[in-house]
Amino acid sequence: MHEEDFRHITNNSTQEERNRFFKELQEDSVEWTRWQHLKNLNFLMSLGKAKTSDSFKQERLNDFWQKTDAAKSTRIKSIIPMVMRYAAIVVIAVMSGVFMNKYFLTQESSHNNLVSALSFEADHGSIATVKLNDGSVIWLNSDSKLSIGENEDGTTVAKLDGEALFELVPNEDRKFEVDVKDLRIRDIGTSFNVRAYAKDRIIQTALIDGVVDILQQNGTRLVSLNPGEIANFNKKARTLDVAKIDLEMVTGWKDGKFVFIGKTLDEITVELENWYNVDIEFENSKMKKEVYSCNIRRTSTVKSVMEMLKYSTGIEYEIMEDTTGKEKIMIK
Amino acid sequence: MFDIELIQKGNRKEFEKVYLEFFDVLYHLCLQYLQNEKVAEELVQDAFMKLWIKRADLKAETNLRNLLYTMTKHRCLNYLRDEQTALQHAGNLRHIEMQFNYEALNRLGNEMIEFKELQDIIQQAIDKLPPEQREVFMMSRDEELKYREIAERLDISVKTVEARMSKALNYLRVELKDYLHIAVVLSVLQ
Repeated sequence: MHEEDFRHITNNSTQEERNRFFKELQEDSVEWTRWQHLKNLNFLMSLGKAKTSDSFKQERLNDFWQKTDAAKSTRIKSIIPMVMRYAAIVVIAVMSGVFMNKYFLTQESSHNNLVSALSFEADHGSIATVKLNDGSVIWLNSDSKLSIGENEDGTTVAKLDGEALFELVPNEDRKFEVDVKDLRIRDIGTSFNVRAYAKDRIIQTALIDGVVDILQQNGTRLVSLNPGEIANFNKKARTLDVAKIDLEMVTGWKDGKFVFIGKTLDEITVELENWYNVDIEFENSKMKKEVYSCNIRRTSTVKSVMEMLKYSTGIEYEIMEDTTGKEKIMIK
Repeated sequence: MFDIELIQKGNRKEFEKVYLEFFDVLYHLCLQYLQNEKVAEELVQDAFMKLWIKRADLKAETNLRNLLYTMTKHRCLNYLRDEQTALQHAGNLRHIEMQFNYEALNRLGNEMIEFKELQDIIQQAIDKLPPEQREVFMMSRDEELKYREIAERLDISVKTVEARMSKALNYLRVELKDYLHIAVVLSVLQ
């Protein structure tokens, strides 16, 4: 045994040196075993200095929850949802819409009673995709719920609370509708995005390609959308506008971006709260009403997004931790 | 130490305590035997993920320390086995080292026993080392100095440092042999 060979089991030599060492060691079974004990001893002795930095661990922990949450939504029967995750880098863009039409609606409740519906959910901070048997794909944004079933007429109905992008394979034999309480959106072989979180004041339907009809709950057709158009339904005023939209801004969330089009800081923070499961508060509530448009990549930490927001909007913020360890962000 | 009932109910805060408590040692275990940071990280994450997914199967008396250690160790062994095979087929000599690491890791026990007296036993063994060996050993372990740095600091040759380290470790190996194959002892050496 050569004493200087200790370097090889403490990983202090080059790969080439170690290759030579272990090849030689293999010839002598007694030495081979004895060195294994030494390797283990070295491991035990070095445990005391086995310390990574808190920030390194925290990053691994964040990464861990992301992966875990992503893996979670793989538990549905005949339809296989996969969850995608995104990271890093930030881009900013600005968009505006041009108003074309205005419609006024009366209040009505849902007409659709579903038979044997399947339910899907994308949790805080995750995006889920639901694949239908015919190859159609539905993307579910963070904190959204979708249940799919058939109503009495045999129409496939997707009840949505949240935001989803539908990429439906054209199918003459199937009638497909999205039901968002106030409205129904009837598909005619299309890709379209529906944003209808219960807490949002506006339901947005944007058409990417194909045709969709927007219906009142009683089935009366309000409008047919053309590709590149967005229908904004104001739940309180019960009005419907149709405007042109940059589709990149509508579908950006699917590609891992936060997209805010003419949103108040209040609305922006609600979305960040959903994604990161943090509370965001305002020191000065006047700021809530400030309007911004931006397109930000969903980064792995809420801090980097806040940094980006700070950079693009000039807001100041502080991240605080409450007694349970939950993070809270104060916008100043 | 950890509230298993809370973890079973899906309390993330409690699980994070477990994660932060054991991450370092598990990561170190992987790193020592796999020599690959990326893989080490992956395997540790995978072990924690399995624990989280199977949290409902935990029992109040489950020793999370042992469980996580065993799960991580098995992942390392599987990786080393696959890596060894792949390298051997590729004609890469490194496969012998992977085989060596596999066998060494396999010799470590399946339990991580935490008994405080072992800390004293190890310290006593270190105290019994001749002063010049102890000096080199402590500099290497506690100050994480490379042999070259130790040699410079003590104004001796690298060969001498290696010789002293070698003697010290050999002595400790004999002195602690009863514990080596029984268990890996975590937190004890800190």
